[in-house]
Amino acid sequence: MSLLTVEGLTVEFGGARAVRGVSFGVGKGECLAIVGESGSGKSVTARSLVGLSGGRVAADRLEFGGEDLRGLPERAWRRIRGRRIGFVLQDALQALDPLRTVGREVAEPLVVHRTVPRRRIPDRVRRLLEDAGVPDPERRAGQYPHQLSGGLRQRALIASALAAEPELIVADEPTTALDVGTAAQVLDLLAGLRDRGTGVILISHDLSVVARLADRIAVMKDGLLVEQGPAGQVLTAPRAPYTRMLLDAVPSGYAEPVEVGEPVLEARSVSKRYDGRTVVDGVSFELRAGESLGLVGGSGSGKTTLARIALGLVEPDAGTVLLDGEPWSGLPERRRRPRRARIQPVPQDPYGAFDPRYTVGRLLDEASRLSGETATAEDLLRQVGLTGELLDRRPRDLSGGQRQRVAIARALALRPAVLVCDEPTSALDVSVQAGILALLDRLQRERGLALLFISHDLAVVRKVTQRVVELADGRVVASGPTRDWRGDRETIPEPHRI
Amino acid sequence: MTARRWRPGFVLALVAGAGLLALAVAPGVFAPYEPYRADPGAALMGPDGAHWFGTDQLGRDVLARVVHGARTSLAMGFGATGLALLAGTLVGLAAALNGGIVREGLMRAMDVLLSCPGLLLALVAVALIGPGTLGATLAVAVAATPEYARLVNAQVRQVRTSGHVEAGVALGLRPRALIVRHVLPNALGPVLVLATLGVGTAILYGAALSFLGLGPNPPAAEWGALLSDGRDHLESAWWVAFFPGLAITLSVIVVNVVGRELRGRHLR
Repeated sequence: MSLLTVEGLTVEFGGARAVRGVSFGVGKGECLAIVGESGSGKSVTARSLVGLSGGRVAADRLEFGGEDLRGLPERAWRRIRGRRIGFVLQDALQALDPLRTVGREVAEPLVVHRTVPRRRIPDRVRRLLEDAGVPDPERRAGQYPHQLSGGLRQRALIASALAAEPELIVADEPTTALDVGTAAQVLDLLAGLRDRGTGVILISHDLSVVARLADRIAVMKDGLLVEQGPAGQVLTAPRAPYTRMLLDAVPSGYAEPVEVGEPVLEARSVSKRYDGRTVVDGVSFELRAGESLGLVGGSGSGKTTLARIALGLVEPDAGTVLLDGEPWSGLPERRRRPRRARIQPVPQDPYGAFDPRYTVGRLLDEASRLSGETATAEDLLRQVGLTGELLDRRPRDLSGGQRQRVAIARALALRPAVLVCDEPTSALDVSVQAGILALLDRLQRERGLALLFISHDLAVVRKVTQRVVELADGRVVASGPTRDWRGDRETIPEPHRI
Repeated sequence: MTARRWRPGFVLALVAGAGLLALAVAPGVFAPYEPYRADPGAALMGPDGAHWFGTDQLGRDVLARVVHGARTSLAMGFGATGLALLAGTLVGLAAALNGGIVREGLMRAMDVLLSCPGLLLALVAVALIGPGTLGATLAVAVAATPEYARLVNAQVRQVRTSGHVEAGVALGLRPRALIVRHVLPNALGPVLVLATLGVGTAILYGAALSFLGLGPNPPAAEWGALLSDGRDHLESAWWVAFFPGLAITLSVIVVNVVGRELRGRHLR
């Protein structure tokens, strides 16, 4: 029997329709995945199922367990939300109250809905945390959100969503902020719930996440459902062209081999400590002209610190970094500055890497002047697949993909030998990601650029890099050609520290 | 959103602010009489058709004196804020960029000044600098400087660690180019907005110093001085003190409404 039935759901925000006539249903023990890129309306759809859309919701039918949810007053929603429909948000750090212990947070639905006698609450909280895969639940319950790693916070949030044993769980990008290993654990947890009869609605932009869990898949674009069907059929024989495009954009296969040149960047037993904790521990690697080297590992493995050391933004405590065979670490900034053009970053968050007051043209001109690059800003934009129309725009008026291309264009203005890419596509939609990866691949081949490529996404790393260095707790645990590397099993980290 | 953008209170404050500025720029256009023309025969006359705000003990038109006082009073308020902003920016920037003992020394000194009530600080300063329009303006600026210094210091330190400044370092920009082009402009935005709120306080402090006889020399028309003139006649001729007081209150309200609105927009 159907648990939730939605027909003709429409959500409007001041005249703009974010969701336009969407219909779907979920049964007990079933997982429906709603897939789409940013702006597709998938999150708004999810939020309207718990009365939190913030817009004007209309539907021909919106029934949950036989009850009409249309036009429910906020009071009635509070009775349903948390107790009968659990909601898991993407960002666990924001969704958890920083001033309350994890235990109290998890206990809240129990207290509010009075589903468990008061004296049995601590016991129940412990079991919920344990079921959610939180190790050492007794100690964790007494800690605050900031004392937990991202994965643990997400699991605590799920425990809190499950506390009142809801019949339906709506999870909005529950694994996006997590590294591969933790994400797998969270997905297993949701799968277990589904198998025990809970309905699950999983919102995601990531088809590989969806493939693991969904019984049925609905694909959204621009507020419309473009396709809906059994998971196997949608993933292997999609009917809608858009679904096919999404599937094609998922990185697959390995990078082609390249001809490599001289070493351009070398790290020799580099170490760095922060607050008494060793973040990078004796790491060595060599990057040659023209090749792409992947730096992989779970969150907290030291990838980003290593990238910053390579860029000369952080000094290592021990070990040395060589750029073009000459010392790069341990130099006064005055001596490093003239050589900075040789190694440039491609950031995870390009928006934050631009002065918000500058136009695209000014950003590029500033970089060109430093290197004496003669190509105009417009030429630079063309090299990254953009047009001169963007010259007068400011970063905030660009899409995520455009921003990342502008960031790459700015790096190119300096004629670098090395690009240090720190999760360059993790904030982008799959179809946009495919474009950026193709661009990086082309630049690597055409200009003999060397890439130091940091990512937690194994498929992306396979697609882009020829060699990998795998880090765990700041140490190299594996390195070699990407084709020989079996990351799937090995990067799943142990349950988190702290 | 758009409804909030032009709230009636904000529009009203903008209009009133424009009016006050017009008075300060061209008092002669609005004042019905000469501000210094005494007429002992018409001393302490109540408001009527000829003298809307009445006359003072020398028979001078209060409306004319209030209108002519706008320039000095507002100039002291804006001037003191501008000077404080400049001094505060220099101190805050020096502290933020140097770090270590320089920062500690400068910022702890600012903390000491901040721990004194502003008006007291201004009084001490005017005692050292000497009274008069310029002296009082400088004194008010001294009193307001620590707040801006602290804010600029915090802002600069925050902007310096932001992604785009680090990107500038990675590009190989020289420190001076980084600070002038990227750090200061981004750091000063919120400071300028808060300075509009500071203008109100500065006008008030300037008027207070004048009231105590430490501002412009008589017979110059200045709101604080006018208020002081009217003090002796409060019981018999309320209008002599009332209208300058109203002018001070009104301009402080106008400045605060505008400042708050700007701050709200900036923070959003």
